Amino acid sequence: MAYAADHAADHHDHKPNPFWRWFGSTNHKDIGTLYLVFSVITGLIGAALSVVMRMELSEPGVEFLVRADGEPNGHFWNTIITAHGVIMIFFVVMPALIGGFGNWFVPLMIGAPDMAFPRMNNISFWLLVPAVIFGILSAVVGGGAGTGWTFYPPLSVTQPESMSVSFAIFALHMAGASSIMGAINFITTILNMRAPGMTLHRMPLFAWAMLVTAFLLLLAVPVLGGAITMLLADNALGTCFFCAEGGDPVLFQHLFWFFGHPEVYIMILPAFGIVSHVVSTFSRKPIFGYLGMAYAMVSIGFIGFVVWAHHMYTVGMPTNVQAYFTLATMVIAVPTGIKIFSWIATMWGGSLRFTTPMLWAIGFIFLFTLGGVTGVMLSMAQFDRPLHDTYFVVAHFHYVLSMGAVFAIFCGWYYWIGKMSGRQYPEWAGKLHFWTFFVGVNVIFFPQHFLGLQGMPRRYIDYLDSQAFYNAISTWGAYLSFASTLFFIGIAIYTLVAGRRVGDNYWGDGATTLEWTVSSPPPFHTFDDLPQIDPEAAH
Amino acid sequence: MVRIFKSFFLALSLIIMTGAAAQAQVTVQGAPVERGIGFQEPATPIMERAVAQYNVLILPIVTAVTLFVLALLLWTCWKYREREGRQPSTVTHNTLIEVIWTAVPILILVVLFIPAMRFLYFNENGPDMLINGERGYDKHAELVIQATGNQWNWSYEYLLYRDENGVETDVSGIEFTANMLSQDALLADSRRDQSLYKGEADYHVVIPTNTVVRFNVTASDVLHAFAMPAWGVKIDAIPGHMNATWALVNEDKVGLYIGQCSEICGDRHSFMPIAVDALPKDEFLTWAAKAKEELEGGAIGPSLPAAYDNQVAAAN
Repeated sequence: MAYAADHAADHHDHKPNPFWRWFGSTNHKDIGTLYLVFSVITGLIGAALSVVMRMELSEPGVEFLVRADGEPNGHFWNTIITAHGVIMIFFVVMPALIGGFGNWFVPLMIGAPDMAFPRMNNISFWLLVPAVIFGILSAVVGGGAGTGWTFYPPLSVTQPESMSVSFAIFALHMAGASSIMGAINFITTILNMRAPGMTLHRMPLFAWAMLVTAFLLLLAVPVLGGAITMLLADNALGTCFFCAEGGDPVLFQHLFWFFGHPEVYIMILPAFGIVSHVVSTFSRKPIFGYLGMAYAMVSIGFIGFVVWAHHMYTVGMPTNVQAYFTLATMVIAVPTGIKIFSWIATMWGGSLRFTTPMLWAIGFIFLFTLGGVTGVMLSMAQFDRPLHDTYFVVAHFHYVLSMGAVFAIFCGWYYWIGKMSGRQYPEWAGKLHFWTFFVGVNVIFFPQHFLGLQGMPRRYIDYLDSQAFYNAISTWGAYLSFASTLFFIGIAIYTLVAGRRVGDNYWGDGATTLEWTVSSPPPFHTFDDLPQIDPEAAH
Repeated sequence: MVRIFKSFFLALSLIIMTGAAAQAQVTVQGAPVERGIGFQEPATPIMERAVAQYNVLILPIVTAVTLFVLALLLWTCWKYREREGRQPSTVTHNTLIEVIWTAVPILILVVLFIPAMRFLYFNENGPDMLINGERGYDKHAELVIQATGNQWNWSYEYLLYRDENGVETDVSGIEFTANMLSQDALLADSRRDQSLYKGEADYHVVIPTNTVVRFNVTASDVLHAFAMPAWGVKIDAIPGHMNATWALVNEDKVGLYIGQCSEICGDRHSFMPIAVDALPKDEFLTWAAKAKEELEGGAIGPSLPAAYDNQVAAAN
């Protein structure tokens, strides 16, 4: 017996040397850690860019982003907004939620020893590094890609001599290949490697979220890959897929948003999964309406593929087409409502503890609702006209991303950092981070609804004097949020270096999924002996 | 400085109003206002409808939904906070409540969807909903203007003017390109509202009020978007495509309207405004005749409508 235990311990802790452990990693936990570190670094870059933008917009007149002759450098501004969008979407939110938490916790939650294809998992991560380098090159080489993250032609093909747009396309190619391989890995892992007794209908909601997300990635990203490859050919080889003379600029928009709309659900479904676990844990109750929650995500994923043109109401589509896209888009509010109310019902009758992750989850539920209702407003094709491409849209999608996806990233970090590192964050610091960030982002984005209603177009470096007031307020919010983010970096470093050590299940009996049955941090190899899932203990 | 000019201008317009000039005043009708938190004052039936839906239907519903969720969350947080001896419930299903929170949102969406559809087809059919099978605004359009987005200005071409009796007025040759007015040029021109820097263009498009105006919108290089918030108009300008939209500025909404390019188009995307004067029909015709003469005589743009000069004259 003693021999067996020794042997097991020895086997669990056998780690390769540090170089191969981190650069040739095939361990899902180490790869998850790499993804998380990666997205913290890129997140700081993306946030710094947004502070530059808000500084420039703090008052009317172009003050900082000027050319040598004092004229506004609008192209530089466009480059910054492009880099901010691309970095935040492809190199912060997706790596953190999917690569980071997904890699760490999908195998642990379903009782699998690792991901199905560990080496493919490794290259999925390492493709992101050249991808982000190319992304940064696209902003600094050849004048920068000033197209917006949507890369609409003809603007994106007007400078064929410049390499910047080509660099951005290559960056997305590599990030896309990374995502597709990650998606294949998650689907295979979840469908084939669940522990005995863990049927799909007993699987934790985060694993459900990742399964749906992976299918969305698998179906949507190749469409983006095709579209940007054609764009690359237009730009570098002189083809005419999207040019006005014999091609069609609007076709690119259809292809882009056929990817782009599922993409927003790719960013938010893992967030739904994390929030479900946190709400359940700190209510000390199982999730309410489990099957409804799982199939709400499936239906959101499905409908997400048939609503793309609501991003394009102003391109001049036939009225009947706009009517269809209005209808399909509004339908998404139904499964989303089911999720919101099921979270509240999970809390109802529970015994609520307001720890830091729970605060982020509650903040998520409220702010995502706010972003959701503005989404319903924008879904109505004719009502959208005065709001399309204004700051109202900026406010809307930051409510669902900055306050949705990013809140969920912080939520997951505070929930699982003890599990991942074996050390716990200081509770007061987590709460201070939450409240400063909560106030900060609302101060940034709530006034932007007003700016949009008044007609301020997005992607503007300057605005009319009459719009100064809410722009100034918005900028103060950006300073507060950025300070709060820097404070988070301090919390993270302190936690990893000097945080209090914690046991297997430091959240108590509300935390029921399998990751709480292993040590904190988990051994290098988990589940050599597969756990048996008791039907009563599931999800 | 700008503020001083603005108050000066305001005083000026007050004097004019009391002076009861014969001609209409060109006040700023469509532009953002300081600390405005809602839509701009609507000037067309389309935007009136949008604002009415927003005020009586959409804003109340979304506010109620948001506050309901907030109240429910806060109440739950308070009522079920952790306390000594509290045993959490183990209830995980309740078919009735799940049916309710699926059905009620569907009902709310239906309440929003039906007026949204009527609104959409109202725009499609133009001012006359009874005309089937053809775009109502084409049938009713008296003035057709082509707007072409360029990096980074707008070109306008008057294509056709035919009044409701079928009488055509020759507007050919009214063709010009409007750039953003520089700050110096704005300060130098006392006829213009000094607060509109970045919204004012050197040359204005002039349209008649109470008239269906059709805008054909395209672009010469990259994407742009023709937008006029107070009209509820926004349509992309796409090279190789000819999009169309329409506006009918209400008779009492004489004045200057400011729009801004609404699709990213490169370096000076933020600096290619659209400035339109909506004037009574007779003043429009006077302006059009003069503009045609000026432009055919080699001018690069039409002068501002006479109402601007009258304002200054009346003030002096």
